[in-house]
Amino acid sequence: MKFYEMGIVLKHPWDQVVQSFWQRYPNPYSKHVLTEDTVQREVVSGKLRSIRFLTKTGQGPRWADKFVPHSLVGIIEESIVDPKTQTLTTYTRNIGYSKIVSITEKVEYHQDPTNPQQTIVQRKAWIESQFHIGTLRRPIEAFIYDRFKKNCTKASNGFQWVLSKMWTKEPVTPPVILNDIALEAARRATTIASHANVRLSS
Amino acid sequence: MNSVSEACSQLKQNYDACFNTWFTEKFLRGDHSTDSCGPFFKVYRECVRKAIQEQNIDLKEIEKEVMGTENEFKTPDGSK
Repeated sequence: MKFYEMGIVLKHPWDQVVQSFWQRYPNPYSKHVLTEDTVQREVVSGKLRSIRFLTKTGQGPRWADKFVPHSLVGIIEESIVDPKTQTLTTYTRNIGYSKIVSITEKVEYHQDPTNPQQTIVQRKAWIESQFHIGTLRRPIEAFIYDRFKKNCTKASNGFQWVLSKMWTKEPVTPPVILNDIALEAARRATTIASHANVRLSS
Repeated sequence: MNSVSEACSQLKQNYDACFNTWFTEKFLRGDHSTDSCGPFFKVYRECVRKAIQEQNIDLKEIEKEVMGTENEFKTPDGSK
């Protein structure tokens, strides 16, 4: 299994990010996302829990295509919006194509406690192949891992595009990618802030 | 965006429009009591669930909760 972690900063307050989250498709970077539906939604203890189902065109190596009946991938997206802590957490996994590879992703969007105009995004991913031809598992994981990293950039750019379109009249600036040190500092700041139950105005 | 089934697209649009307004004007402002989108969601959701089953997609798997359970993946250092 391969584990991947990265962070970015979106130059918008959390309130804007969370509203844009539901409207991030379509965007110029999301041609591979075909459908989007909400299958479950309820407010539980002041938090909004949703389950959405999306379909995307398959993105595996070409030689793997003959092992799947069609090239569509189903994505299940669970999410929790907590307006008290100003956190949006999502957990996505694929069905269909899972005979080739499983990609599971957890993303946390927090209001930046040091800057009311920014949101910190922490992304974690687990990539695992249980392909029946054992010797191909590692090459599949490596291929998907590389493709996944590129797709993270596309996804971030797409989301940033939607944010700019919804909230600003300025040209789109790409989100800032956090290096390990900055990511760790951001993580610590967010933990301290949520323990102190600080609520920032946006 | 399209729905998984063409038959549900209009219902989806109606629901999404209602939800986005409710989310901004009620939920984010702390008002969790009113749910004026319930009727829209009910009919849209039924349409989608039916379409998913008709397309032989595993509806049980889709509606299963994994986040927040012990089945959620952990990072290499053991945290979530």
